[in-house]
Amino acid sequence: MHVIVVGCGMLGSMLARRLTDAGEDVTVVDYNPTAFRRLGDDFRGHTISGTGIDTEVLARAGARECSLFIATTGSDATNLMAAQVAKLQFGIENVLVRIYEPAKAGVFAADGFSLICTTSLAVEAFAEAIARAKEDSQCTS
Amino acid sequence: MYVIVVGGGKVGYHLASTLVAEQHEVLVIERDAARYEGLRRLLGDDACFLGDGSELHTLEMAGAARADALVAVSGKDETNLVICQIAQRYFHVPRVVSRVNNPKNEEIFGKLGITATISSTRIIYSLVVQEVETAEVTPVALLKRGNLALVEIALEGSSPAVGVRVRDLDLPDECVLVGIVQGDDVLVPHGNTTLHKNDLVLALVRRGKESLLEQVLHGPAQNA
Repeated sequence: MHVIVVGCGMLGSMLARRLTDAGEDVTVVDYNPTAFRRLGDDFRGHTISGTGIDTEVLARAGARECSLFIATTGSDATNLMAAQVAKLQFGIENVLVRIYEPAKAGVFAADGFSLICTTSLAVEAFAEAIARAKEDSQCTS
Repeated sequence: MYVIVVGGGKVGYHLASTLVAEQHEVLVIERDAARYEGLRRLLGDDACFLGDGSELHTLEMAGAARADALVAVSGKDETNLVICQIAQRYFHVPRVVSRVNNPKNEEIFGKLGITATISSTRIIYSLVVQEVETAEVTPVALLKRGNLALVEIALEGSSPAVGVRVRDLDLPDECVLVGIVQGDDVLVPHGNTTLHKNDLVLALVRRGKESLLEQVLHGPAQNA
């Protein structure tokens, strides 16, 4: 399976590593080539420097043969536009989009991609940790 | 009319001051604090808002729900696209206009539902190319994303159109004369209007037909 990961920050680089380790054919796109260092020297996938909203860049990244597209940059706008270009210009079926602002999920819910709000996930994780901490302090007091 | 302008760079600032001068209610959203301070000094407190216009929360506080129009003029196409989509889909702003920095994104914006786009790169390119192609026909404005042009042509004494009535001119299809400047007067031409030497003719013409219009008003092209 050919996978395109847009954005090579913490999230993008870790997902790309995990996918290549699972045997997937991965191309990572980031406008900043130094970001690819996060992938490590032994990364078995491909890298392309350029912006993930550009049709030509995505074509070079193998968008025509791509069955999974993941937009992970630090900008909601970049991720949302990249995802729409992936759907519109290349008809990529599975498109995953990282967003920071939870409210955007409702606005783009009908566009046919999966929106994952990392802020909401982090808030849930923190809230659970806070609840556990409270329970612990109640037990000891 | 209440207009929200997202992006307080040069384009955003000049657009906002023009709208203010025309008595419209305007709010410029700018996320950079230093640039916001500069705008506040020029436009006043009430016309500026510090925040990230690509967040729903910011647009909500800016009153997007009651805006008559929203214009996204940031330097980033992806930001402008998403802002316009949020304005359209969530806040139901009746008129949404986006600046497109990279002309090749214009088509994609259209397909994604943002049809009112302005690409300064494309407009300048069109003007330059047109200026080179037909030096005698000066473009005044490009309309409808560059497909129609308002042009002006000065009639020289040697013009075959001098002394001819408008109705007898063999104008190309998709071309109308919209104004004739004669000295200090501006006439709205009709069929009986006769053209004179030194008239300045304003015409609305489909892009690509300028040279046909030039032939009618200047005579066949002479290689200089």
